[in-house]
Order: sequence, then C-alpha cells, then structure tokens
Amino acid sequence: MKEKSENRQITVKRLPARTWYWLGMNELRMETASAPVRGEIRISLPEEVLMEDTACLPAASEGTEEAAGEDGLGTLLEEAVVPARIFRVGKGCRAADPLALTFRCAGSGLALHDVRLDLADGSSLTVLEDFLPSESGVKMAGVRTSFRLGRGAVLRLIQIQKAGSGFSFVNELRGSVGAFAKLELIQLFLGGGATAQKTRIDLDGTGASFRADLGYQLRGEEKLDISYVVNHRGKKTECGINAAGVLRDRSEKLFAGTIDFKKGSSGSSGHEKEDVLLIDEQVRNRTIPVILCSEEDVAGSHGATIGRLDENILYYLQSRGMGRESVYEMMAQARLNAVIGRIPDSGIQSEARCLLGSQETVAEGERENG
Amino acid sequence: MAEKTYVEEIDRSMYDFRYEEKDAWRIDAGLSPEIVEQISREKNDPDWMREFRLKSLEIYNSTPMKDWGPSIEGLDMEHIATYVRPNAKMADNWEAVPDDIKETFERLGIPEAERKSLAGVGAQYDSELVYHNVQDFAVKQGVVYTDIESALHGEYGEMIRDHFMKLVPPSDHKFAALHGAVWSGGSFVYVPEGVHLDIPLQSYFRLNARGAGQFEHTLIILGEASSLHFIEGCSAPKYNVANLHAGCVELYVGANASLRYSTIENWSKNMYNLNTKRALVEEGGRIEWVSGSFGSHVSYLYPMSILHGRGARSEFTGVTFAGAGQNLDTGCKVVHAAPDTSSYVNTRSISKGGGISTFRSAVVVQEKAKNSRSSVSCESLMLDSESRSDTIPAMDIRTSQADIGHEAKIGRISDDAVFYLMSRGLPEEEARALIVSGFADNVGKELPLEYAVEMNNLIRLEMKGTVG
Repeated sequence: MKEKSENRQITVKRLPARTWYWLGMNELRMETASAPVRGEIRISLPEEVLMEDTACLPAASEGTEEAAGEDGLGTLLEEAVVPARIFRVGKGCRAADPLALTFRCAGSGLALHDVRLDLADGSSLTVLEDFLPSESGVKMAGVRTSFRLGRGAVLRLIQIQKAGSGFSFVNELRGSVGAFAKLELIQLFLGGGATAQKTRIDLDGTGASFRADLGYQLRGEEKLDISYVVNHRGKKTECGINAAGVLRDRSEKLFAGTIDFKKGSSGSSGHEKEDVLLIDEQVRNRTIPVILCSEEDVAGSHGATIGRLDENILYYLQSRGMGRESVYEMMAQARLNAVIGRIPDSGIQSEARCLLGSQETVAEGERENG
Repeated sequence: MAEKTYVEEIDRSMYDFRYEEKDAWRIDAGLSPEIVEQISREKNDPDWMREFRLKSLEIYNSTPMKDWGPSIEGLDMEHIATYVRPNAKMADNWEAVPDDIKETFERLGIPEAERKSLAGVGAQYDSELVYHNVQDFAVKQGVVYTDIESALHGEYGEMIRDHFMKLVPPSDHKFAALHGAVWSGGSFVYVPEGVHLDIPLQSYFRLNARGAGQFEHTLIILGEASSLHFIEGCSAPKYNVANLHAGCVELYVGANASLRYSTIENWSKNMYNLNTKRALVEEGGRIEWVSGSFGSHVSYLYPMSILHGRGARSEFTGVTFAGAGQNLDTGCKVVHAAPDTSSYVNTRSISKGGGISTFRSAVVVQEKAKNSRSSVSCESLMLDSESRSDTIPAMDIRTSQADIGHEAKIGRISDDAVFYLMSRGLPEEEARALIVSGFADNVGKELPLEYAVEMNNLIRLEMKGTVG
C-alpha cells in the first residue's frame, strides 16, 4: 500500500447547487492526517453473505457523480490503494442475521476503510456499522461504504458513531438503488471531534426508494457536517429524510440535504424534515435543505424546525411538576430514542440505548465535576 | 385522456414598444477610467463622488465573477453603453416632457396613476430622470422626494454622502462595484419624524436604448415613527442584444417607522437584471417587501433586511414567473442582529415553457438576537417538464433562544384540489384557473388596486383545456 507522508487538505464535499460563499456552506475541507493505513474491522458474517477481500483493487465510483472539485475519500483511497472488502448476497437470498462491522482504528495517523455491499435481485440484508473510539495515536479515520441494490433488494443499514473528541471522521455512503429496491438507513452520531458524513444515493430504477432516519447529539466543541444528495432518476421513486438532533455547549452542525428530481423521474416524491433542539447559548446550527427539479410530475417538500422547545409544550410539562432542565433532557432523549426505535434489530437497539446512556452518564459526571 | 391545462405565456406586447434614440447622447460602450470620469463630468459630481466612482471601478476590475447562479456569459460590458442621456431636461409637469418620452409613460399608465392615486412620481428614461413631481400635501408635511442628483448638490448633500452606498458598499459584490462606478439617476426620499404619508410615491424606470445599462440609485430615509409606501416599476422594449440593469436601493427605516417597498419588475427578455436592495431597520421598525418578478432574461434579485434594532421586523412577499428563455434567481436575505426581531417570508414561483426559477434565501440569526423568530415559506409550481424549479434556502442560527421554521413545496397542480373544486360544481377549466390564480395571489393582495390590476395583467393566465 502506498503511503503519503505529508498532511494536506481535501475537499470532502461540495454542494451540488452552490449559494453565497459568505454563508460558509458550499464546501467542507478537512486536513488529513499523515500515513494512511488500512483500518481493522471486526466482522460478524451471516452464512448467507459471501465476503471477498480484494488485493490492491483501486477504489471505483459506484455510478454516483461527484460534484466538481470534490475529493471525498475517493482520492485518498485511490492514492493509498486501499483494498476493498466486498460483501455479496445472492439472488433471492435473505440473510436472517445482520452483517456486523465494527471499525477499530489501530496504529497511527489515518485509518481508511473501503466496504462494498452487492445485493442481487430479490435479496435482503441488514448491516450494522459501528464506528468506535480510536485507540491511541489515531487521529482520523475514513470509511467509504458503497452499495448496489439489484431489483427488489432490500438493504437496511445502521451506522452508529461514537468516537472521542479530538478525532476526525469522514463517513461516506454512496450507491445505486435498482428497480423496486429499497434502502433504509439509520444513522446515529453520538460523539466525535469533527465528523463529515456524506451520503450520495442514486434512485436509478423505477420504484426505487430510500428512507433515512438520522439522530445526533453534539457536546462540547464537537462539529458535525451532514450532506445528503438523493438523485431521483427512475420513475416513481421515493425518498424520505428525517433528521432529529440536539446541540449542546459550543457544538456546531451543518445539515445540507439535496433532493434532485432529474428529468424522467415522473411520479416521484421526495421529502425532507429536520427538527433541531438547541439547548445552550453558544451552539451554532446551519441548515440548507435544497430541492432541484427538472420534472413536472413530482412532489417535493422540506420542512425544518430549529430552536428552543415550543413554549406550550414547556408550559404543559412544567405545569405537571417537571423542572425546565428535566423537560429539555426528556425532549432531547425523545428525539434520539425515536431514531433508535426505528432500528429493526432489538439487540442493536439495546446497544444504541446503552451508548446513549453512557454518553449521558459521562455528561452528567462532567456537569457534577463542574 | 385527461386534459392538460394550457397556460398562456405572459403577454408583454403592451410594454414592447420603442422609440428611436432621437437626439440622445450615448457614451461609448465599454468600461474604463476615462468613461467613468466622463460620466462624473456629465453629472457635475462633487470631488468625493468622482473619487468614489473611480475607486468602485478598481473594485469591479479586481473582483472575480461568482461561480454560482445563472450564467451571465451573454453579458459583455464591452458592448454596453453605461450612460445614455435623453434629449430632455427633468420637468415637473408632463407637458414639458418631449412627446415621445411622454407618450412612453402615458402608454405605461404613469401620468394616469399619478392623477388618481399617487403622492409623487419620478420617471426615469434611460440614464436620466425626465419627470419628477410631488404633491403639495406631501411637501407640506415635510416629505422630500426628489431626484438624487439634485439632492446631492443641495441641502441634503451631506445626508446623502453619509448614507450613499454605506448599506451596499461597492465591495459587496462585483455588480455593486459597477453600480458605484457608473450610477446615474434615481430618487432620494426623506420622511421626517412622525409623518405618515398615506398615499404612495412611485418611481418608474424605462430603458429604451439598445445595448445600454441603467444604474439608478434609490435612497430612502424614514425618520422615527414615520411611514411610507414606495412603489417602483420598470420595463423595456425587447432587443436582440443584451441590456443591463444594475440598480441599487438603500432603505433606512428609523425606530418605530414603517416602510413598504413594492416592485413590479417587467424587464424585457434581453435584460440582465443584477439589482441590489437592502434595508436597515432600527428598533421597532418594520420593512415590508412586495416583489413581483416577471421579466428579464437573467435575474439576480435578493432584497435584504438587516434587523438592527430590538423588535425590528421584516416581511417579504414575492412571486416570480419564469417563462421561455428566462432564468430568474430570486429570493431574499434576512439578518437578525438584535433581540426580539422577527421575519416572515412568503414566496411563490411558477415555471413554464423552459423557464428556470430559483428561490434562494438566507436567514442568519446572530448570537445577540435572543427571542427572534423567523418563518420562511416557499412554494413552486411547475407547469411542464421543459421547465426547472430549484429552491436553495439556507439558515444559520447562532443562539438557542430562537424559533425558526421553514417549509417548501414543489410540484404541479394538485389533482385532488381540482377534484375537490369540481365536486363543488366548478368545471375543470375554472377549477384549474382558480388554483393557479390563488397560487400567485400572495403579492396581488398586498398592492394598491391599480397595481394589482397591472400585475394581474401580467399573470393573467388563460386556462384552456387542450389534449396534451
């Protein structure tokens, strides 16, 4: 594997439709750590899934277009020639157990992963990707998960991130959804210094659908940059993006969700909803929900609610004897539990609630210690 | 087979007439320090304004073109004459205006509107104001409404110098710098403290010359607890070469004052409309923007409100209609820079026949803007698959003590809504007409009747059922 010894900046993402530069939302640049290494993965492989560990295969685009000027992880993966791990599910095959991938970052510098999911026609699979705190020395990791869903295939992908502060993470998801295939994505961000999460979905086949539920809770100086681009190319495609989050302390978040109805996507619908609870004075929330439309017969919408709790809800709960802080904590937990409740596996749900609980325990300890 | 509703293109023939540039004086096309100096001499500028123009030209030349929004590749400044002086001195009665110019404004209905329902009118033809008049009752209240160049040389010279391009500095963007270099014409309005002018003032801008630019500057200052409704209209005949409009509007709304700024923009389809409008609103003040965009080949138009004082408020109501050959990028910007401020945005856009309509907005709530509220609603209607409609709203919230809501929808005429109305007895054709008219009514109902009628002329939609 090639190694690059010098740090440099990469353009992780660029908005497909740019706007005023003074808003600071058009692109995200991150500094990469030196010496990329292939990261370690702990794998729990269901019997229905075949795994290939390729040797020195350059990373290839899965058909989703990159915005001009965007490096993403692609450049780093290609330069470092990181081999891909390919997981295949055969035609009509439905995996009973989830494929569990736990990403640990060993060594030093920059840990890279290239994961590919190939689901043949009529197959189904649940995948859990756990991004856990780095061990000493590792400052940055990048994971690219690409997928291809054949006709009628169903992929449920759950990504849970709980990294330490001071740790930078680039999480890239991209792929193509075939005719009548379905991608259900659940993403939980429960910690990390600076995280860039970039998702590019092509709804290529007639009747393809994508649903995303994402929840996040940021503390301290944590920063989260979320970018979704959903390209509706086939007819009667559907997408729904629901984001709910909580910002505390001095954390910052940018959510950029683009729904793009390409010509030929008649009968399609795309909806985006964001609900952000701002708890502390010095947080910063940025949101840019974009709809691009070249097709008449579509329905697109987005809605966002940002800020403090509705005063009527607050009044109601306080009138029932709850203190203000308790109300805010309960409503913050409710947002995240709503996302956790969408996880189809009870074991994974419990694990996520434990992680959320441990995050609260640590935070409570920090508050008590002043 | 379901009938597809046919929506007529907006009828612009009543605006698409022209007169020869008889006896007009036209500066050489292009942009250079010599041309800017020549304009400055024509204007008899004070020294500070001449230096300001030259500095603006430097900024223009050193500012790169932006890389977002509609292409303006077809705009070549080397082929734009930035100053065309009609053979007419500014008059305060229509009889003194040369016949061809007077007839232009009569065809546009300006003198009639003045007689019926306006407190004052300013009419600009190419680069100069040719008519300016304000009714006695307004003058007696202390209202000042004059061409900005006279004011620059008169008793309000210092006031203008203190405010001119401070809200929109030349460094703001490339075409603000261009405006600073070659501006000509426009109006100055001052409403003293406590004065409420119940009848609107209007400026109308007509660009008759071919291959020319219009760069008028509007400066309005409202004293505390005063109020005003200002209306601007614009049009031009269509040519097969590019014309450019890069005007600038600066509005200062004093404490507890209220300003409604209404625009019906109907430039011809060869026009590049790169306009900049900005309002600074002090404590308890209120700015209402009412904006109808129907013309231009390419538009960049985002009226901006800076809510500077506690409790300041901004409302923006707009409709944009993009037809064949048009790429209209419109919207608004709001900055909440004080506590208890509020903003409300309600826009509609219609795209048809290959037109491209983009709604672009920015809402920024600064840390100090505690207890601020903002609500943005944008709806887009696409009438065919040749057209395009994009929405690009952005929000940057830097305090937890805020309530921000945003919603947007894009789609076609709802079959359910049509069915509902038909089930109540309306024929399908009428049902669709009602839906589309209602869709664009958010602006019409905010305008005085005469202007709503004009706007309805522009958006009159002939709903015919044709097999499609």
